[in-house]
Amino acid sequence: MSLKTNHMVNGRPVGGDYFKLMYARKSNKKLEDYLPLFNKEDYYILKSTYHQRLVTYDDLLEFKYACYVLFKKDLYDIDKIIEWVDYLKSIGGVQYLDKPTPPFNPKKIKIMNK
Amino acid sequence: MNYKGEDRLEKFYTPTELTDALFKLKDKFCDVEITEYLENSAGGGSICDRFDKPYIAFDIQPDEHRDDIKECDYLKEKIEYKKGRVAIINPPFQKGLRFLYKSLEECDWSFCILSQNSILNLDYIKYWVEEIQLWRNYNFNKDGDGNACKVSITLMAVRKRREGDKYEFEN
Repeated sequence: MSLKTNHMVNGRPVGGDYFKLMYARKSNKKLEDYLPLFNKEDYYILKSTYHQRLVTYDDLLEFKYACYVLFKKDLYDIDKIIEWVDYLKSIGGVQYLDKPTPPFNPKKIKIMNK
Repeated sequence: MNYKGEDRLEKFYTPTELTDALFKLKDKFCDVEITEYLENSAGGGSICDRFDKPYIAFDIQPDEHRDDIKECDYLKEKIEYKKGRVAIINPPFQKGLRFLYKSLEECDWSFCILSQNSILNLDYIKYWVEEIQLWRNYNFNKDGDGNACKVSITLMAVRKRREGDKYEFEN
């Protein structure tokens, strides 16, 4: 467990539609400061570093990685999120998904020079 | 060389291959009668030279011999919307979406070259993207001095959303 890990929230309020929790050495806030601010059952949690993927709440508590993004379950379709995550992995060189996915079907993006 | 300040000017002229692709997109999707074109970062004028209708063109630092390109900061320029005006643009990637959004206040369609990450950052609530093409590791200096400048880019056909437009992944 690393509830004492220094980390910060990037931009959006914890407990909102979606938000990020990320490691920050200089932050004076700890992970345990943020955990009471949202209901773990309400959110999909995606790891946003290395291989981006869906993780459990326990993985979040381990906080082995630098950044997690949380999406509210009743607002976002996890299948579509995963479809975009897989797509971004497949093309490489794109930032991690850290906001709601575009409503565009990624399969319709034409790769012009394979 | 690594200066990344706001005042840094990006200058990558559009290779013929990409200009062709933009015009193909225009031919495929543009559903208005074109009265005028707009190029908001015209540079050397390679896109302007392909226009077959009157056009307005802007660049913060146009080539010297191009009197048809107005030297100004396009983002600060006041341009009224005109029916039938179509933008075909290759804006600086640093401010690509700002150039795109402004052009769509002035035009019916915008056919543009943007960075790969623009796929994620575009405002899909306000704008309708008809097609996205991804050109991976594209050598942007193909027509230039031969020094490779490889970057992944997107070509898009974009307009403002109309009533009834609905993306496949929308609830």
